[in-house]
Amino acid sequence: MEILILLIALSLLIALGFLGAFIWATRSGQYDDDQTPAIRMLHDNPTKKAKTE
Amino acid sequence: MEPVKSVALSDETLVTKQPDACYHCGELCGHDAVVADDRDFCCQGCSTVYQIITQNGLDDFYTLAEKPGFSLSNSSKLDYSWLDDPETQEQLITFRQGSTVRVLFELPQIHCASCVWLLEKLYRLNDGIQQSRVNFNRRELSVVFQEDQITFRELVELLDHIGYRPAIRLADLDKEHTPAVNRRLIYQLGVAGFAFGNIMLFSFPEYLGLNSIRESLFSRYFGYLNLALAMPVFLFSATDYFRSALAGIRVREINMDVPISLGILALFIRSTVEVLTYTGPGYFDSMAGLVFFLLIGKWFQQKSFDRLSFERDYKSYFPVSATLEDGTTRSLNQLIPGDRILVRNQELIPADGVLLEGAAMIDYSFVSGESAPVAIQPGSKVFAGGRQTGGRLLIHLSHTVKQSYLTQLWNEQSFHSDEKGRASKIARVMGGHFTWIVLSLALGTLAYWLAVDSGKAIHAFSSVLIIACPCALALAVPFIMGNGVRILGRNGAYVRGPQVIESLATTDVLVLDKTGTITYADQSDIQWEGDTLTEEEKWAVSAICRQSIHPLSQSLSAFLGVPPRSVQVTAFEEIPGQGLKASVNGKAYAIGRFGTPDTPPKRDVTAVEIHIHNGYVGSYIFQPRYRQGLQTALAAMPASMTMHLVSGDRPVDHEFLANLVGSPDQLHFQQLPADKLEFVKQQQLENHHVLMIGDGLNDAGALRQSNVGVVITESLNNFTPASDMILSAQSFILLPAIRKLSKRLVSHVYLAYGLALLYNVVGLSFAIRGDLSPIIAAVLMPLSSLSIVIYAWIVSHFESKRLGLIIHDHDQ
Repeated sequence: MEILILLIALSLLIALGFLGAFIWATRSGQYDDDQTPAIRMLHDNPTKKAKTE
Repeated sequence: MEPVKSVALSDETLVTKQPDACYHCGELCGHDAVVADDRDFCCQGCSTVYQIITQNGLDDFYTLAEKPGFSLSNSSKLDYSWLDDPETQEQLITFRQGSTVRVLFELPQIHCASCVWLLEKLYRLNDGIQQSRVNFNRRELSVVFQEDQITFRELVELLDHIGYRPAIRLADLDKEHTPAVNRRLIYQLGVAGFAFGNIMLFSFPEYLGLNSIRESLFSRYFGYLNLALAMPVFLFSATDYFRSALAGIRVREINMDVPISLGILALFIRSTVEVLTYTGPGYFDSMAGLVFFLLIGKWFQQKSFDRLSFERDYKSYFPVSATLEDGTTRSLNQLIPGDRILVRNQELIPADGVLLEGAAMIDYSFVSGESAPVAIQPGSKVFAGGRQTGGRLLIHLSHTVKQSYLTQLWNEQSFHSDEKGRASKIARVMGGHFTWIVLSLALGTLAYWLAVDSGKAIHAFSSVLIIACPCALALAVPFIMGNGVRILGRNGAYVRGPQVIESLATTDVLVLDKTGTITYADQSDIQWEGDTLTEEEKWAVSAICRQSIHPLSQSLSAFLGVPPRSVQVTAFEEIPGQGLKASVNGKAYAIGRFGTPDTPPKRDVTAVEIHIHNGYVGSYIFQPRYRQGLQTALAAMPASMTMHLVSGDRPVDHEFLANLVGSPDQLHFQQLPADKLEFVKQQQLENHHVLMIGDGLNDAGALRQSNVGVVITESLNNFTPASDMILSAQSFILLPAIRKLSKRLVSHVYLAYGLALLYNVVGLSFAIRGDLSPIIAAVLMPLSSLSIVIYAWIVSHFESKRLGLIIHDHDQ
């Protein structure tokens, strides 16, 4: 049963990793704007190249 | 039932049916129409933008949304040479490293998916632009560019050129840049959620009553883990509540955060002691859950107020640059007395000065509310805030911008009446009562157990503090009012905080401004009075009026229509303050206010007189057009509401207006901004709560003084004075429903308080007896919070539906 102690510590470490990921995501500004990405993702990449150079 | 939507709908069908709508902006093509690529454009500007866009392979711009472009027909070219000044640039740039520069622009024109698409493809228009990102909610564009390839000024000119003129305001030049988004709350929320989840897991043996392991190694191990997880919640996530509670106590005011802080403090200390002394598992799960729920409430509330800025002053209205006599431009805060500046048609005078030359017809409606322009002779003083209508003026400045009359007026104390707090008043009052009840209950329990069984005393005392912690109570206002704020937003009414809904519910006096508020700002009814004009004469009048930029001439020519090209105007002359003289086909016309002894100029209405060959023929009478649904809206106001009309204009339409507000005593004309402010103050001295509706800067002082100041605006992108609520003009008719909704929501807040108290009474009955187990606390806290959230959602939607307001937003 004592092995549980190690397992729980490991599980907490993994959870901390997720918290770290969340903090990183916030720091990089992913939560600053929650509306524009929803619009942006519907846009296709422009396929046509410039007609005249 | 849904007036706002039906307007939008009919708008759309109009555009698609119309064959000669502009391909770029969707507006009707008038006399300036341009045809290019077999497509119609309403003006040269739109056609240019189309060419830039298609030549760079960005045609998709036109396929992504119905009306993607922004009409350029009314915009004049701006001179941005003042942007070359390095000092001015520094104020506007957010970040610079080497030649890489990042700048944030506010672009009020952003309105659809196509805008986002085009603005994020700016790098295809110029190689110097590395990246551009749009924030749709805030109507902002962040651009990273190489300064050695495109200058700041060229970038602004490029944006202006494709129809997105950056809104650079005087205020931007003055203040430090503040970070746009508050990420702290998101971190706090994340940490609290993380801790809450994990602590719950580690508390499971406790929940399941696995007593066999209670005294074992695991129990201690979990205890320490929980303590470690709870630390960041206590020290980071919850700090704002402690700070707010302390700030409240310091000004001798007990707000809702005081009992919350007490509860968190009791939870943390009690649990820490239990864990460290191995006497129990503690209540860390309840603590983390409590903080997590509270922060969700806070976040929900904050999200509702993202979009519009309500803090505005004269700086938002003023241009950022002025043109000097030699044609160069200079940023406004660098102007000094002695400078000679040029002011063109429709430009604001930025600072007080003396008129040197030019025919000045200055519209001071911005300052005084009187909309008729005033003629000013060279040598006389002109004041900041006046708008020139007519030719070019040369002004010798006598004051700096900051020392001018208008700006001084703004700095006066009366215009900065006590900042209305953002915090909810109900929550503040309830928080006060609640804290005293909790404290006396806790102390009573302490005293009782000290006498009966001193071993249990501290235990029972802290239990009372824990269970009474008003989590559900604290959530009632954010969620009920937050939902209310969102629903109002969908109906075209944007409020600046939940306390506005509360104040709105208690208002009993309605003060209305006239021009632009109950009438349309940009439309008037024109009627002909006099002998009948022939078709030829009408065309002649229209053609003459087209030569002038005076607003009355402009609306008259628009009313009469475009004359045939054969109508030739000769000997045109504009006499400031009087009108126009010209001849067409050998007939001499005089249009304006040339009163002769037998036909004195009419002073009580706005009229344009027509004289042909020095003989008076008749007048075009300009009547303000009242808003559609005005009578219905005001009639739907409760009878207990007294209405007053306070206008800067001359008295007009006495009978109609008296009928509208109730009696002639309630009409107040020719009121200066200071008089309006005084009027509102007077009403408040008589113990009335004033709801004021206005539109311009001349109402600004009164709007601030009012309990609820509402600004009505045709376009939400327009600058409006500081206010509590911005009401879109189409939603004017919803005003009675909005007020009713606010009333009902306030009573629902009280009902929710009752519901929350029920839970507290149940919990307290355990706590006072001294046997509150962690599991009861852990169940009661989320249960009460959850029921409040659900209650808030149901009542706000139900009440809005009953009042015929739009609940769901399908537009975006």
